[in-house]
Amino acid sequence: MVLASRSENELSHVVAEIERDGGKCLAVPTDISEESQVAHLFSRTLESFGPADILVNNAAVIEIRDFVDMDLATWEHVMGINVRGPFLCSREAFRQMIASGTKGAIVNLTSLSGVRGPEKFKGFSSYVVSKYGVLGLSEILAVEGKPHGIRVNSVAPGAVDTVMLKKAAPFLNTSTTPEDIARTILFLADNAQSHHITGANIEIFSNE
Amino acid sequence: MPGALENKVAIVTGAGRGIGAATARLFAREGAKVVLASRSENELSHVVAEIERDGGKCLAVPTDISEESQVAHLFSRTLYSFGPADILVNNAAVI
Repeated sequence: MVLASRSENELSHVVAEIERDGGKCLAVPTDISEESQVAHLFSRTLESFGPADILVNNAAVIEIRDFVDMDLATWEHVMGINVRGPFLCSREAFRQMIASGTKGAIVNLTSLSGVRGPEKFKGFSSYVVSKYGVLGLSEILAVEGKPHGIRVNSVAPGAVDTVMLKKAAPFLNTSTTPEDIARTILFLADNAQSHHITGANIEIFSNE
Repeated sequence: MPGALENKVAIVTGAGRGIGAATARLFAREGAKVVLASRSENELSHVVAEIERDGGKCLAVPTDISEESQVAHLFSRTLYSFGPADILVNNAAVI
């Protein structure tokens, strides 16, 4: 396991938990919107554990702002983390997987904010656009990955009980947990379970 | 018969060719005052000439829509020349 996050402090707690349970992991503090930091993340992975078999593009930010008040810096910040980040990480993963002949899997986290249909919320413009971008990225990378045996799928949760939800949409109640979503991600990441699936998006309408 | 867009103010980006140019020409025929935006001043000038030859009212504003200041300029020129925009067609794109 290679854990990436901008927050070294948060990573250290997760690393401690994983190691306490006997798991193998490495924390690499990374701003995924920075090309050089993503290159470093993947080179650290390669030298520590070998080429990546699985990439989960989960990192994202949300900024709530009425559209008329949207400033360019906020817009670019959200697009940087939510769209450029998955682009840069996926590109490095593709290069590493192709060079090593790895039949890898990429799982992208989009959102019910990033698909047509579910109700959208006022103030979410940058987030909605970014998550549509992730959906598009997944669809095209499934095409580009096919000749190399790289599978690319996405998961679109609705409300999940996370820090982000409390910040962005405290009016939503949910009993869906991060662990629920993690099991869905595992399904798409595990070639044994989902070798037959690429280009799919699992929309998670919580059962409540 | 009055056009469908009589006296409306319409901004069309990517109006130098293709769908943008066709939309600008159509809107002008329907009576709109059309503001044409494109990075290419040269392409705009051809579309403007066509619209004016047909008696339409329009204005070309060379614009790189990825630049905040140039977009502000596009809208202030529109306001100054024709009044506030009624219609925006976000057509400009690259591939």
